[in-house]
Amino acid sequence: MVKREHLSLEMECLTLFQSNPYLFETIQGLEKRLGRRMSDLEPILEGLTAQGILQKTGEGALAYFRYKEPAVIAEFSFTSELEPL
Amino acid sequence: MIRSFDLIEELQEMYASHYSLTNFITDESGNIIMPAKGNNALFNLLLVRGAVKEIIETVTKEFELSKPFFIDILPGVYACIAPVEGHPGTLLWSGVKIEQSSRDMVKNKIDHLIDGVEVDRLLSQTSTLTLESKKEWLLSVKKAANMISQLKGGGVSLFSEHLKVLQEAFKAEEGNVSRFLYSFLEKNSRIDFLGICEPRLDDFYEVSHAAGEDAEQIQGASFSPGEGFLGRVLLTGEQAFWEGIEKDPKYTFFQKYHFYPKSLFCFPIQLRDGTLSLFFGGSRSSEVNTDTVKDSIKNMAMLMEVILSAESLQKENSGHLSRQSALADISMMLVSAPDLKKISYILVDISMSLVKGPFSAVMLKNPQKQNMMLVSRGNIKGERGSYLKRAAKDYFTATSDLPPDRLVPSMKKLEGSPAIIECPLHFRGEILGLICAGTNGHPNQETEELLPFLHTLSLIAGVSLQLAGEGQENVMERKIEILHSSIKEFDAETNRIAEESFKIAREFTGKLALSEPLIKNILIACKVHCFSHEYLAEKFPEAEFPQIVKDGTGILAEGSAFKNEEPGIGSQIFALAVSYARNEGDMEAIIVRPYMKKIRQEFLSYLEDSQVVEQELTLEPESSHAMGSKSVESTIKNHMNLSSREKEVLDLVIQGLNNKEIAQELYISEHTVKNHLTKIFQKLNVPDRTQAISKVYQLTYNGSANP
Amino acid sequence: MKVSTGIRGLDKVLDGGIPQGSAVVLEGAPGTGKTTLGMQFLYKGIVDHNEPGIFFTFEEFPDQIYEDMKSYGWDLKDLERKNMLRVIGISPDILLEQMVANDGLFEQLVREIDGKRIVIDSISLFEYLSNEAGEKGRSILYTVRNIVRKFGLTSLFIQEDDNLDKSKIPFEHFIADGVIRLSLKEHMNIYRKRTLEVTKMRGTKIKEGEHIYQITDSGIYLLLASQIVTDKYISDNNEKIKTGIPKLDSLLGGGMAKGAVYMLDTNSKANYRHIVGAIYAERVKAGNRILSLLSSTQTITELKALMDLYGINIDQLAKEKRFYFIEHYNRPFPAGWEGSVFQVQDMKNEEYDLFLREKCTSLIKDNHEDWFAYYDLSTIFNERGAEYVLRSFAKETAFARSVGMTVLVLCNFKEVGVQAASFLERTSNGVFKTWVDGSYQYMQVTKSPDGQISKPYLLESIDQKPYIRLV
Ligand SMILES: Nc1ncnc2c1ncn2[C@@H]1O[C@H](COP(=O)(O)OP(=O)(O)O)[C@@H](O)[C@H]1O
Ligand SMILES: [Mg+2]
Repeated sequence: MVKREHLSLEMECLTLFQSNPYLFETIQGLEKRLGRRMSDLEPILEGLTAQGILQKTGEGALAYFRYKEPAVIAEFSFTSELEPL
Repeated sequence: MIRSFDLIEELQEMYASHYSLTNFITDESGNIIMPAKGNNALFNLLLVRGAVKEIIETVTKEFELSKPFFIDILPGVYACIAPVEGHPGTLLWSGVKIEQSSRDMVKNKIDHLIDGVEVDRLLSQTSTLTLESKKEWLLSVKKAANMISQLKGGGVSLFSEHLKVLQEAFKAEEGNVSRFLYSFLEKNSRIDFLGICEPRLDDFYEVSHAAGEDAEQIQGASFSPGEGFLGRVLLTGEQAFWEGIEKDPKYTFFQKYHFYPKSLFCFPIQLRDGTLSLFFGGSRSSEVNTDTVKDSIKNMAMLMEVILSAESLQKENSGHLSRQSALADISMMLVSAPDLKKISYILVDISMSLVKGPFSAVMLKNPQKQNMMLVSRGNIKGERGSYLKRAAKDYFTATSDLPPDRLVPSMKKLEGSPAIIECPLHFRGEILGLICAGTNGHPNQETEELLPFLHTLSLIAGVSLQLAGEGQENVMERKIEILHSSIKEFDAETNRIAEESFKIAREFTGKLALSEPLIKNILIACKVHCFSHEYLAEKFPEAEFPQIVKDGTGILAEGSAFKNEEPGIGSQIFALAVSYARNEGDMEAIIVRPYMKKIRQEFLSYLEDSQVVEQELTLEPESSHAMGSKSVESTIKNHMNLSSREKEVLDLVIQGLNNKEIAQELYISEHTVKNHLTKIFQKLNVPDRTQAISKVYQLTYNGSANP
Repeated sequence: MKVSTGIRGLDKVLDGGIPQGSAVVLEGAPGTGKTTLGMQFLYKGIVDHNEPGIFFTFEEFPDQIYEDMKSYGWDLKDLERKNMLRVIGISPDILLEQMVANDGLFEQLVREIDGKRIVIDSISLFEYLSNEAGEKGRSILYTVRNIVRKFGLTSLFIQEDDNLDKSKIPFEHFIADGVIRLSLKEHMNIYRKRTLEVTKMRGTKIKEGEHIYQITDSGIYLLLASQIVTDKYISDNNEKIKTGIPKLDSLLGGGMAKGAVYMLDTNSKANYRHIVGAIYAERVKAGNRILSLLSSTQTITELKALMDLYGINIDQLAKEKRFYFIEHYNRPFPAGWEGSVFQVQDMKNEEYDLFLREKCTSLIKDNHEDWFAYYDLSTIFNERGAEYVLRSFAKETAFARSVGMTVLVLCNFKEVGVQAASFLERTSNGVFKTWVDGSYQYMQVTKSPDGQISKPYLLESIDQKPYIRLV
């Protein structure tokens, strides 16, 4: 079940990384920039990483996160033959 | 936001040089926000000497302006001030002119006030304020203020304001609709009441919400479909704007409740269950709904639709996710997302992080082509890819409108693999896109609970997509219209070329197999041909027409060589059209360039063909028309028992002008035109316009009013 | 090899630019324009020299920077899309760690876009990485400098000015290859003056001094301290004359009013020759006939040279009776000019008065063309006395107006005294002042017929006609 607090912080992180695709930041750095607690941020960032929305590099305190763009097919024809992608 | 200061400045300059008046703009605290432009020496002097400061203060503080008006800076020395619509307190000042009878007095006064000025010369350079020039001046200032208003607001920012309201509203527990109405009112000074009508069980409708001063009078008022203005919209199902409504018999509905609007609008809003509600509003002070007001009303209506839908959803699902503040954050994100791609990123990420399944895909339909943009996370290869194709085809190629139950998110159960959530994105029943989010297993309570949340999300996403798609177009088109109308105002010859080249290009391109976007770019290029391509490229960095203007102007400029590449076909057509218009349709004079042989030939033969047709059509009536209109004129002038104003109006009716055009031509309101027409019809004893025209012709050619 | 800074003036100060591969500290107080200058360095590098760049920002989010830089018309997102630029939001500790790491993020970024220039905004934050700032900060910066050198990057390290102890030279200055300093000062109690100074730059000569810069709509614009108005005798006779002084024209709402009398108030240091030259040239080009009162310092030869500079053949004009001179000093003039020079050295004041009223009036009235007069009032003060000027100047200006002749009067208000100056100022329709302050010359319109007054502008000397420009 999605929790209220959790969800809105999750959305906040999402927006931040979406509008700053070249942001490379640690949990600590984000704590400073967003003014949020590290302990709240950590599960969210890990979750987003698990879903492939963020990319985590490194380990420990120096591990940093960045946004991973979704795959885009600009002109995808759906009327053509139904061969698998 | 549009960076429009330079456009405003340009407008100011053009206005200033055209009318030899100095103009500037003040804000609601009386600060000059756009500095004075123009060479009106007397006004400039008065400005510099601080003689206008106090007046600015007074006007800003104490006047509540809704119309342009004159003010005397000194006795006998006038400036004209117009409010910039949509920006309360913002004023356009233009000045000065002197009353003939006051010249001597003014001379003394200035002599007295200011040393070292050559008063005579100064005064002789200042034009005289006459009764005729007064009207023209008012009108010109009003027009300029209108253009500035469009440049400043662009409607877009107003819209994002509204969306902020939307965000707020989702946070609130109760009373969304009323909050909305009030917040709309606050942001639109030209509208002073708003309301909603909803159906009752007995087939009657009643005003369920009303906002604005005295609007409580009509709260709870009920009516049947067809009754009064509002009831009419229930029948026609179409939005309507009314102006100057006091004389209309339908007005009694409002009178009954002691409520007296002067202008009114009403939008039907269809809810998910198919029922109709009404969104209405208007002004008790202003008779007209200007274009700017109409734009913002349309946006409001769109949002109101979303609000009402979301509200009814929330009622059904109270206690669920959809009420959470996260939704407000998401709507804000969508609002500030500038383009379709960004919106789809947001949607794919949100759906992914909500559902937490193996994949999520957002597909946006491309209305022009039979394809779409696909943005995805997770693995969409193999079976899933085929599924996505099928789903897209299913939703996007439906020939008729999808039934309402297909427009809500649903759980798709697939053989042998986990369920997938399908969430269509739509606006007013039109499918714009589709979110498909894979789940981890069979439908269970947890995933089911996501559906209402996604539904509300899809409503907001729908309207955001609609606006992002439209928005970019709109901003550009509006800017182009403003550029174009500034030419129209200030440079007749250039305007003629713009219009004629536009017209011929439109007709000619219609005959060629060109893509829609290319045609559009050619036509825009014609409209703004007189601006330098550097300027256009700066103002419209994303657009393609600046290139057309660039190459086209190159083609037109003799001797400019295109060494490696030929200029595009668009530029060639542009050059032909402009050259045609410049030479006033002289076919011989149309430019010749070695690389343009083919298209030029096509253009010429098109012109020949169309000329033949035109000639065929005009051959006979031409001579009689010339004669005819003369004698029609004299018929009106001599034979009819009409006032001189009525004669003028009738004359314009015969010339084929509609009411609005007549109003513009005669500098009177449309409402007055209608009054004149009513009288004319009475006097001619005819029921309508067509009969009136035919009567005049009968009188002219048969000398008789009887058929 | 020099790397252009993207600011023309600064390139001149640096004799071409920053030596390639240098690490330069850019310091200044908040709001002085460091971020702007840093981004301009990258932006111009990309746009003008095809050199990709990376901007590291520790405090600001990249999207804030995209937004801020739009005010200069720089579309950074577009450059990012083209893989020419990266604006990286990162913490100082991560950057440092990724710089030293083998194939770390830093190296990847540089490789990915083939970066040539970088900016770090700001290195002040490195100091906070450790509690005992001093030594640790120094060694960090040292490391960073070595790494960017290794990659051959030309870099700007932005340093926030903390306004602390100014007597000690900060360690950054020792480590860096160069130091550029921005400051903001009060100037004449009215305008804030922004100045740029290069205090160090290895491997290039620098123009010393505090150079004024402005933040304009298209970024930073630097004006060299030595760039004040200097005489230029470049003669290009064949070229056509274009305009007077465009900016001055626009300050005057299009130009001088016809038939108006303008005062050009100069102080002794100010060079007004090009102002006068430009106006002469413009008047001639517009087809005016000219009446010129020669001063003791302005000989015909000198005037001829000046006009040559503007491509005007004064000899020809004199012979054609389009250029007339009033001469107080009985100096020789070229042959063929006889009818064009009025020798007034022997005239008493009354006679001179009469000469103006009769001779000049008929001359002007007989030629139904527009006239322009240049009147060196200092000469009249010297030759005919202050009393004469005060008595007759109003009459003379009235006469000029009555025949529609535009007049430029040259005068030094300081020299003639407050009373005379205020009389002259009142009597003229317009006043331009030009003066020298420090190493700059200024110009200002303090009065004009339509009441417009300008702020002081810097007078910059330029290479083409009209050789001066107001900035
Ligand atoms: N288009 C512009 N014209 C003039 N000044 C500007 C413009 N845009 C921004 N500025 C000003 O430039 C200054 C420089 O800002 P910035 O480069 O961020 O300085 P710093 O990084 O040194 O703090 C700011 O004070 C801002 O107000
Ligand atoms: Mg900064």
